[in-house]
Formats: sequence, C-alpha cells, structure tokens
Amino acid sequence: MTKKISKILIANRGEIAVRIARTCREMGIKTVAVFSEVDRKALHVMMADEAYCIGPAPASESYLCVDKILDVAKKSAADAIHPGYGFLSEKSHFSAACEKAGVIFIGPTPSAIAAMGDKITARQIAAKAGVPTIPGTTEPITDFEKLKKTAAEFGYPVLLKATAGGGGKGMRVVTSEKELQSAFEAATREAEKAFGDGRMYLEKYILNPRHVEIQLACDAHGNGLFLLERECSMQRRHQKVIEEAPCFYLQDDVRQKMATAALNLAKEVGYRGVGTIECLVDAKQDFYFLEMNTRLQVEHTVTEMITGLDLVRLQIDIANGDKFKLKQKDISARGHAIECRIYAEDPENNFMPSPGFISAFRAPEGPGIRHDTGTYSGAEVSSFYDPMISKLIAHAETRDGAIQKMRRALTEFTIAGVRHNTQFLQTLLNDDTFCRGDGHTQYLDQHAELTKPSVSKTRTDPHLAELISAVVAHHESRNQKPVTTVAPNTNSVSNWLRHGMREGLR
Amino acid sequence: MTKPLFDIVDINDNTYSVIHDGKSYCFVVVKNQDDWQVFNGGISSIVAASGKEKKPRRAGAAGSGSTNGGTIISPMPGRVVKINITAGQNVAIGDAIIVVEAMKMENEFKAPKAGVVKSIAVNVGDSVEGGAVLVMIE
Repeated sequence: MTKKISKILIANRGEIAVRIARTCREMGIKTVAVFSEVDRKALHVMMADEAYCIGPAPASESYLCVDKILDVAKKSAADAIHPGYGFLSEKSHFSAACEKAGVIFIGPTPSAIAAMGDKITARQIAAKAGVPTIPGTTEPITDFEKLKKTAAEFGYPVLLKATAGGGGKGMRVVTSEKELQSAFEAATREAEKAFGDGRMYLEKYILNPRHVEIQLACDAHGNGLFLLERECSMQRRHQKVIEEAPCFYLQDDVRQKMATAALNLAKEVGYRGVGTIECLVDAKQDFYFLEMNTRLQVEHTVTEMITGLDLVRLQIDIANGDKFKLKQKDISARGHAIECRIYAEDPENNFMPSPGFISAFRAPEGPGIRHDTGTYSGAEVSSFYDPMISKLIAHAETRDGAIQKMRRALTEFTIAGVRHNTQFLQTLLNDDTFCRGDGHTQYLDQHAELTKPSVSKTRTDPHLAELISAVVAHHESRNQKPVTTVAPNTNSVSNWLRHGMREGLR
Repeated sequence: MTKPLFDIVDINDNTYSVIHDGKSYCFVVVKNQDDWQVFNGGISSIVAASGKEKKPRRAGAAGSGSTNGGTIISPMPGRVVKINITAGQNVAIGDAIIVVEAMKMENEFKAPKAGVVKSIAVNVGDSVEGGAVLVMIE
C-alpha cells in the first residue's frame, strides 16, 4: 500500500491558496505556503502550517520560479504540490519537474497539459474524440470560388479573419453569400494596409455565443466523472465576471452530448485530475470546443455548491491514486449557484486595477452565502498580482432565489481603501437581460452603460443626505483631540446628543 | 426652530448605528484622501471634510489611474504598449491617452481633464512600476 499524501506545498497565493489550505486541514494534511516579499502578511501565509519566502514581488522572481519552489518542497519534505490556478498550474515543464524531483504534482501528466495547452493539437485531439470544433479553414483562402464553397459548407454567418491579425483585429462578419465578394475584397485590402499581409482565413461565426463549460474529474484508473456544467457568458473583454451552475437553459440531450464528448476527450488525452472543457453554444444549442483547462478553475465553487462535492479533496484523492467511489448516477444538481468575482478595480475608469490597503472589510454572511477570500481588513491588495479581493457565491433552490441572495449579499459587503466592482455587480444582478438568462459573451462589452452606477432605492430616501452629514460631523468630533479637560464620556451616546434629544422630547 | 437631532450610536472606530423615525441605518466612515467615504447598504458616497455631501468623485479618488488633476499615474507595474498623443497636443476629457499592459490585460488611461499634454514620461516598450507618472496634462 502506497503512503498517502501527508504534506502539500501550495504553489500559489491569495484566495485559492487559502481555499486549498482549508481542505488540507480538513483532511489532516499539513500545508506549506510560499510567499513573495510583498506577501509576508498575506492570509495564506498565516493559515499554513509552514511558510517560506521565495523571492521578491514580481511573479517571475517568486511564484513562477520552479527551482525555488522545488527547493522549498525538499526543505519542508512536502510529498505533493498543489499548483492552484494561473502561475505554474498549466506549465507542463513544472509538472515534469515535480515528477523528476519525486514530488507528486496534484494535476494531470505533463503530456496531457502540453497537448491541451497547444491550440492546434487541442483542436486536433478534440476532433479525433468527436468533439465538434468551430468549423474553420486550416490554410488561408485566396481563390474566391473556394471561399464561396467553404462558406456555404460552414453555413452563414461566417467570419473572415486576417492571417496577420489578432486580438479581435482584422475580422469581418459576413451574413450572406451576396455580401461575400465585396467583403472579401475589402477585408483583403484592409489587412494588406494594416498588417502588410492580406491573406484571410474563414471560420463559421457564432452569433451571440454563450460560454458553457463542462467540469470533469478523472482518476488514475481510467474512470471519468461528469460533474455537471457551468454558464459563464457574463464576460468583459474575455474575463469572466459572473459564473453559474447549472446552465439552466441547456437542454438535457445537449447536456448529455456535451458530457459524453468531454469524457471522450479526456480519455483520448489520458487525463488525470480535475479539468474543464470550455465550449461556445449557439442559439440552436449546437456546441463547439474552445479549449480545455487542465487545472482547477476559479469558478469551481459553483459546481461544489450544486453537487455538494469538494473538488480540491477530489484532486488530492486522485493524486493519492484512489479509485473513485462515487458513481455517475450519484451526481446531480441541487438548486442553483451564482458566483460574483469581487475585484479591486474601478468600473467607472475602464476597470483600471485599484491596488492599495483595505481600510474596512465586512463580508456578507448568512444562509446560502459562501465567501472565499485571501484578504482582510488592513491587508494590502498588491499591484503585482491579479487584484481579486474575493469570490462571493450564493446558493439557493432556484436561479431566482440565488439572484435574490446575491443582491442581498452585495448590500452587506463593505470594502474601503480600494475601488471595487460591487456596485457594478449589483447593477448586473438587476439587469433584465441577465435575470432572464439571455446574456452572451459580447453582452457586457456591448453595454458599457452598465458601468454607470444605477440609482438605487436608498438614494431616494430624503433623509439620507442629512443623516450622512450628521454622521460625518459626529465622526469628525470623535476624532478631534479634546480642548478642555473634561472627564471622558464612557457612554456611547454623547452628552450633547443626549441633552439635545431630551430637549427635543419636551 | 431646533435642528433635527439624530440617534447616532458608536459601534466601533468607524461604524455607526442610526435610528431615525423608526428607520435603522448602519454607516461606515473611512478616510478617502482629504475627504470621507461613507458606506451604507453596499453603496458609498464621498463627503467633503466640511460635512456636505457631494457627488462621488471620479478622477483623483484613491486607487484610480489618474490623480492630482492632470497627472496620469499607473496604479500597477506594467509595460507601455501604446501612446496616443504627443507633447503639446490638445486633448479633451475622456480621450484615450496611453495604454499600459499589466496582468495580460491592456489598461487604457483616458484624459482626466481637457488640456494640453505637458509631458510624456515614458516610451512605448518601457516597463513601469506601480505609482509611476506616465503623462502630465495641464
């Protein structure tokens, strides 16, 4: 019988390092934290059993240093490393280096990470596994007749993409065949002028696509489990803002098809661990492979809420070589969960990061609310890393119930010292399109007006302005040094106020 | 006529419970540069130190990318990827001035006020630190 993992080095920081440490503690596994010089006071450091500094602030000199991390693993005698998300989690060379150093990498094999990390091989493997991919040409098309034929095969609308373009530039949507010729000629001219290369590819264009992802878990014995799906269409510039589970509008037969395709893909690549297959879904509920993330995702929390599973525990069990005791029939969705990502950023200023020190921090609590954070009152939101403050999750019997809970929770969240997106999130939670579930991946980018604070009920309270003034005046007087030697007032209500109230009552 | 008096109770250093006409409020007051930021029900407003409420500030508030009137400062370390203006150029409020790439995201800084570009402290390709002055507009 092989020895079970008894000490895990968490090669990450912030909320995910805290979250991983919690499961380790529940399982009686010792934790080793690594931190950069600016993270000395971080929550993940305080929550771990051991902690080691691995370098100065820049990630390239600390959290991304494979050698330094493996040195700490050796020094602390950690038997396994959990890479979290981001940083080294999807670097196949890190997975390989861990193997070489005799430390268990809590994640897939280097070859699986590498295969899915390359866009081209990932598409090829997906196609081989029978997962539909967005129809597209593999070579530029110069002959117009061939272009017309290919476009007809794909079905309109289609997307002309400049070979030399990128990041959304050099793309043109064509909605019907009669537009194709002029669009092709114009796009070629534009690309030639902008990039010095007029060659064009053709792809099927998915109008108002929705982002639906499949959560999988695979043990080291060839068993794969479908852990339901997540809906993540609310994105701003390809960054997820709100995530949900399950995807309430997905038809059952589509869900089954996606699950089967995903499990085939995992098998094809010899996958081990938890992983997510991201897809685009069109209006007809046809789905197309986007990419596979070979790690735990930020939004794994909503899957945990509806399935009742602990995905980090599952990762550790898989890494221990355990065979799944859980069967597919045991997995079902209970209620609906929504996650809001709380960031230290300024929605009214282009979502510019807003690092700084948190001067006040009170997070929501109560039934159906989960709060995952790596920060606390007085802590610094560093300018060197992702400015995530927290993940706020609401879980209720229905989607409407989860929305109501999230709105309530957001009113309880007080964060001062940095700008943050809680008011923006509240606007979204009250947006008709979001509430109907009609959002798509372009929606937020198309509606910049959502970043403007909406007028709320509280703001129509006629006394509010007066009360705020009075509270500020009171706060200022408390913070002033006393000018006469008067015995300190140990009561919570000042004598002046008490006198005034008495007078007012006469 | 007597001034209205409110039942304000101190909860801790910055938190107050107020009951007025039977309605219950909870306020958190924190410093925001030279003013106060008051939180209530997840919404905050900026109050000048004199005690009069005014509209929440945009440019110049703690943590945003532009402070001190016309100075554009990068709040985080990154790399300058695009400069849209030249020294001496007239700009209008909201014009795209400079783009800094950080954390794989492009952050575009807009002109906090109308004016003339006084100086550009960086070149495209430069690495900048958190707090670095990028462009000054006067």
